[in-house]
Amino acid sequence: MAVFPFSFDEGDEGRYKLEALDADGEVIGDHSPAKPNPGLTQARVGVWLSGWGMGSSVAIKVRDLHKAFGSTKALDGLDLEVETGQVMGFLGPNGSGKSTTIRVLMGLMRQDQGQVEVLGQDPWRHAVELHRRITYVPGDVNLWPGLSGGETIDLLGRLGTGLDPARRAEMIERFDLDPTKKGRTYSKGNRQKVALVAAFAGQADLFVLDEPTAGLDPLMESVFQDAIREQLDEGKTVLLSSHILAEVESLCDRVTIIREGRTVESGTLSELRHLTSTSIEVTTTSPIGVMADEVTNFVADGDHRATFSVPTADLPGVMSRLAELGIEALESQPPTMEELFMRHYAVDSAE
Amino acid sequence: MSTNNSFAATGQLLRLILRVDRLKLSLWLIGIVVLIGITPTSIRSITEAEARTQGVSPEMILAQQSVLLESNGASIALQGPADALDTFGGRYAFEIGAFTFVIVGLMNVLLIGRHTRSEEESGRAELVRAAAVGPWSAIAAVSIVAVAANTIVAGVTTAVFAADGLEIGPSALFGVSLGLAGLVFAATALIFVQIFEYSRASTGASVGILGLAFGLRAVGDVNDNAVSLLSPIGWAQAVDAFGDRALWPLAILVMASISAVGISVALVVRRDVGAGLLSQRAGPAAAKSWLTSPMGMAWRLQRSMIGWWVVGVGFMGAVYGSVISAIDEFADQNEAMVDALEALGLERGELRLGFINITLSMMALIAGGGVLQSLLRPRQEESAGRVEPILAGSVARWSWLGSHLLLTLLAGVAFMVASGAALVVSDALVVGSFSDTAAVMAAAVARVPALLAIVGIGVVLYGWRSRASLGIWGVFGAIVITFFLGEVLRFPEWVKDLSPIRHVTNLPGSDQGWLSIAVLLSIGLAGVATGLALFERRDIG
Repeated sequence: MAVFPFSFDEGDEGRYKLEALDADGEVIGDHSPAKPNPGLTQARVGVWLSGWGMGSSVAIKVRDLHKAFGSTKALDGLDLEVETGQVMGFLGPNGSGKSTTIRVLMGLMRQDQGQVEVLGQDPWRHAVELHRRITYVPGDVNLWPGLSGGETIDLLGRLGTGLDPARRAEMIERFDLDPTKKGRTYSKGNRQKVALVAAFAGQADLFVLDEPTAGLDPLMESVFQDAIREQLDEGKTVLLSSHILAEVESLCDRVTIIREGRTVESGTLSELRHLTSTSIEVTTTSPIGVMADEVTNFVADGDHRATFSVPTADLPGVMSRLAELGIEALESQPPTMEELFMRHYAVDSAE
Repeated sequence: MSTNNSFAATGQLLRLILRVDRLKLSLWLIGIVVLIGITPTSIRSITEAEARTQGVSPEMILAQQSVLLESNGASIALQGPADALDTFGGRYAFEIGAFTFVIVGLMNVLLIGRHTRSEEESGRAELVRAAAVGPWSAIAAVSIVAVAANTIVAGVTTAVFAADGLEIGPSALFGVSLGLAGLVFAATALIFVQIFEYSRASTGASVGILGLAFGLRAVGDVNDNAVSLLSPIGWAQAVDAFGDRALWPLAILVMASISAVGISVALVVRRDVGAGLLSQRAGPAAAKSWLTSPMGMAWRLQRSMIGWWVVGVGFMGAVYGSVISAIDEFADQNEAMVDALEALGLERGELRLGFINITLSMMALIAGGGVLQSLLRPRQEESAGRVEPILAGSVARWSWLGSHLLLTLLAGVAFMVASGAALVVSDALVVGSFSDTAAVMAAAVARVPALLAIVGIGVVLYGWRSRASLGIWGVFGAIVITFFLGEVLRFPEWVKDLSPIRHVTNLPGSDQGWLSIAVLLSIGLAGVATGLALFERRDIG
């Protein structure tokens, strides 16, 4: 996908300028339109180029981010990179710094140290311009007690990325929201829906979502996932912080896992799976006991049956050893999302 | 950051504020307008009636009364400098008084708090600032609303005075001085909301400034010195719209407002959204054993609020204590005053006593603000959903509410003891010896039953409906207005008698207080009992 990065300047009235860059960020070629093309955005160019296998652009780029609150270090050298057109899962245990990172990305907080670029701009200095292209949904939405849901959606939409009336009506319908109720009477899930409708009815290029589905029922969860996929089809980018692993698994192209304010892992889900163990239940013709030293969590059930786990990377070697012993029956289970994350969440900080 | 974007969406936020606040702000403005509106009519008709009785011109009556008022330190301490009292305009301005400046200031301080720090504390500001909203837009929007509200106050005041037949120039001058003073308090509140992370603290600090402004001008006015000019209310009253017509204080008020807004604008971009400039201290890792009882819990939740109120009322007591001796000197210097008092059958010493009476009752009303804050704490806990886990535990409803109410009562006692003690000590420091200590302290504590009676009404409201308890602010407001303006506005006797504080205002110096105290205590306790019984029966949440 990412052959070379590019920079895109929307210019005036659609007279955009597209520059191809090399790995060091030097311009190696450029393109400007013969005729103005006002509809073109960076996100669309990203889809367009990647469709041809040509370009990629980075929507979020964070290097060595530090932020302390008094003596508490919330972020301690965090890195994060999200390519345009992707859904990046942003994971980590409670208190690991996800929300702080997101507040920095939204320009609501200023980092003590480190480099932050969102859609090519510094979010603190260019907060307002950026916020016309980014939409943000926090995990704990607080509404004005006296404003109705519909009023709040319009307010947030107009203050933010704009509002498409048809989309607004459609989203209210799909999320099954009663827009006439006052803010103080909404339940937790319904307050969340108000913010989501406002987000999806807008025209954002980038969605920054901080546990956006906390409190939603499974039906609404699937409406949410569909809405995200539609945004992806339009070339939008999503940063999704979530504890709902099924949601992460079904939506995210890549995930970044952080702990104690630092990035501990980043990659595609299959890359991460590779780092964890597969559990195997096997029955062999020869006695299985000889495997005990080669694998972990070995539990024998008689001489010929055992369960154990194997680091996914060592799987080929172990399989050929088992073949030598004569496999009668074998069941293997790839690591579940839970196991994947337990491994990263539970690592001792001394490591 | 381009200027353009720094104020992005200010118009939208402005409309949001007007939409969300239309009821509260309208009620404040209507209240203030009524307060200011009825004063001139009332004074003019009293004066003209008196003039007819005596067969002289109304101006003559004003001149007679001005001699009395000029030598009445107690009035001056409560209301302001005795300027131009022989004119109708000057007299109106005096009767409207420093008290009205405090009310206008309060409107401004609360308005600013509601739309800045409270929004950040609730997390709504985060939603708003994550949209295309500039860092200065919220300050700009709420400032515009504050300017508009104060303009209305200034305009209506001018119109009311002009309609009474006064010259338009001085009327407008007075109106503008009132509006600009309000603006200064709005602007200082804008600074405090940048500093403190929680609206309770920022509003507390702004109200503290309001109290300080009131106290400083009282000291300055009574002693006729420049201490008044340390206070924005002092600046506004130095305009003397119907006498000297000074314009320089208006310039100071404008400059102070602009500089304070400038400071807040500079501070807001130096902090994270939702954070204050003062960071939070870490708390203990485990609860002390006393905390886990209902009483301990109530104390833990209310102790810092109660502590600050003790400091506040103590300070006000000290300010007023420091002018007691000056009240005596007033009478010494003024033969007409002594004659007038004797004509009324009063002795000189009673002037001092009268001042202490009025001061202690005023202190009780100030303390009443703190008592009501404590009283409404259960309502706050309930609407935030924090009471359910408590009541879902092994705590009985009456025990939870009763603990908070007991603390409210103790807080009332503490406030009155603090203000009485501060009054006595501060007087002793000025004079060099203690006097009337026991009488003043007893009288201070004797005002607690009046507060308890108000609490009783509040508990009934709360026991009936959680939201209804907010109505106690209306009751309290009426009591405060009756106290400060009941005479001027010629409220009927029975209306004035509805105010509990009136029944203890003749202490010290009266032996008939016991009955009043007993009645007030019964009302208070009956209210508390009824409220608790109602609370046992109603839905929570």
